[in-house]
Parts: sequence; C-alpha cells; structure tokens
Amino acid sequence: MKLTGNYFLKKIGPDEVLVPFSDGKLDTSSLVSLNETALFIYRKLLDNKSFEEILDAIVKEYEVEEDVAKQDLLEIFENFKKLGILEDE
Amino acid sequence: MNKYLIAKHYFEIEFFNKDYLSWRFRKYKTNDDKEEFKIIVNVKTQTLSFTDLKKSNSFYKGYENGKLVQIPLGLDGEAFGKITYDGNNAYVDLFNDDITKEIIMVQYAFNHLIEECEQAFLIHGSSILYRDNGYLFTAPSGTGKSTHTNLWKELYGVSHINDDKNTILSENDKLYLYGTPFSGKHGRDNPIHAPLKAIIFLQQGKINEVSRLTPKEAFVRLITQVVQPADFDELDHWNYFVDRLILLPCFLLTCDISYDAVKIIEKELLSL
Repeated sequence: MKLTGNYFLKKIGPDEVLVPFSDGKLDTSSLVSLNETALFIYRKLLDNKSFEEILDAIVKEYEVEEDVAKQDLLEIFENFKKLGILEDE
Repeated sequence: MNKYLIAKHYFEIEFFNKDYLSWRFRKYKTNDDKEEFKIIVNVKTQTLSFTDLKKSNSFYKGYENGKLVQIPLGLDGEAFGKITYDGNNAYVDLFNDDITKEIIMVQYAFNHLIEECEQAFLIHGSSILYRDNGYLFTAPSGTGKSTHTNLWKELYGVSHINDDKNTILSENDKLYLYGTPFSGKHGRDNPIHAPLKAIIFLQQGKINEVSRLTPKEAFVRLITQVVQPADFDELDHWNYFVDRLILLPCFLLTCDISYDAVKIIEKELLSL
C-alpha cells in the first residue's frame, strides 16, 4: 500500500486535517480529521514505512498487544483506502 | 502607454479597449519616471500548443518556446486568452474583443508579475478602511458583501479598499490589504492600503448576530474564497498566507441589510 498523493496534511491551530488536493483542485467539502493514532500512522506512511514497520512502531509507542495494534492498523488502512488516501502498489 | 502605480509597483499597460480601461484605472495613474513591469494587450485568435501543461481550478499553465504561458478559463471552462511572460513583460492575447475578459486577463498578468517580487495573495471579498485598519468581508458571490460594506460607507463614510479581488501583501510578516483596480462590477476601489485587522465571513439571516470563529472554522470558510494552488509546488506559498489569515481575528456575521448589522460587528471589531 502507498499514499495516493491526493491529500496534504495541514495544521490548523491545535488540529491537523487532511485536505484533498488533486488535479490542481482543493476539495473543500471533504476535509478529513485524524485522531491521534490515525495521525501517527499517516506520518509513518509519509516516511515510507511498511505495514510491519508501522505495526512495530504502534506497539512500541502505545505499549499495546500486537494483535490489538494490528486490528486497529488494518481498520485505519481500510478507512484510508476508502477515502482515497491509500492505494495498492 | 499609460503608467500606473498599483500595490507599490509600477505597471505600464497598453490596453486594447483604451478609452474605457484608462478611465477605469485612472485613480492609479502616475507620472513617476519609473519602469518596472509592462502589460501589452492585443486581440488575437490562435491555436494553442504547450508542453508541461498544468491545470488549476481557473487556468492552465505551461511553456511555449521556453516561455511561461498562462491560459485563464471562464466559468464554462473555455479558454478566452493567453498570457505569455517574458521577464518583466506580459503579452496578453485575447481571443475575442471583450472588456470584461480584458480586465480579468490584465489581473492575471498583474498577479503573476507582482508575485515575482512580493509575497502576494489574492482573496475574494469587499474590504474597507476604518480607523486606520483594513477589514475584509467575505462570502460566496451573491451573499451581499458589497451591500454590507456600502452600509459602512453610508454610516461612517469609510473608503473601500477593494470590492472584489483583494490583493494582500506580506510585509515584515504582517498582512496588508492593497487597493487595486480589479474590483468587480461596482468599481469600488481606492489606491490605498492598510494592515488587515480582521476577516468577517458574512451569511444572510433574519436576526443579526456575530460569533468568533476558531482557526479550523475560519479555514473551512476561507479556502473557498482564496486563489487555489495550481500544484503541490505552490502549496508552501498558499499555506504561508492561509496560516496567517486564519490566525487573524475571524468572525461569522449573520445579518440582514441594516445599520444594526454594521453596528453589531463594529462593536466586536472595536474591542480587538
């Protein structure tokens, strides 16, 4: 999986949102707000980390069981895919 | 060719529709002996051919014979002219003789040339000078921005800075509104400038009320009223201005057409 490049991350005050941007056009109607975990994962994707590397990072950062972390990560990847943030390589 | 001083810079402009546009730009005319930019307009039908073409929401940008070319698009998506940039000169070729489109093309050339030497940004709205500060009222077209700022003029005799496409320059990290002749159908503009103190987002309503917006709320409303980046290369510039604009005091004014609407937002602005 890789980022589609159709979004950019924008810090707005205390919030960070993903802004859809493709073909020279901002889609202002569908900003994506990220929770802390989703933001953590998105940043790892920006650093070109693989699924396994991100999973490992979540386990270390949040001190959770690998099975629980994997479930969360799969769910967020699925949501990212549905929103067009991620695509198959 | 007449010379104009617009937003601190000198523009020699050769219009195609000379009589009307020289009159429209009259407030900015100068006799100063300074050369900076030239904009030359002609009417010329032609075939378009480009390399590295990029499309933004309102124009195509590409290269022709090694020179940067910009093709503004109408609301129907049709190209109505071509601007070729060569150093400090812009050659505007209109595909048809149309005064409204000539102003739009000259405005595109102005924006491009000024961005070569200034941190400049464009925002849609109606701005006024009030007690030495600039206030920008913005909203989608048809909401009543001009109607509202005209009430300020009737009530307090304020001057319009610009009534349509506002030029913002960043000077020492502070934002300033500059009057330009690109001010929409009413031609309400003046060759003045002022620090941008607050942004007021207007929406129509039967009860006059005002609320302060968070940066996130302001962002969602603002991005529909500013010029959009053509590609990721322009994002840094876009972010620079958008980040500063949403950190200014931003208000949502729900209002009818009345002096009461002016007074309710004036009270908030004077408390800043």
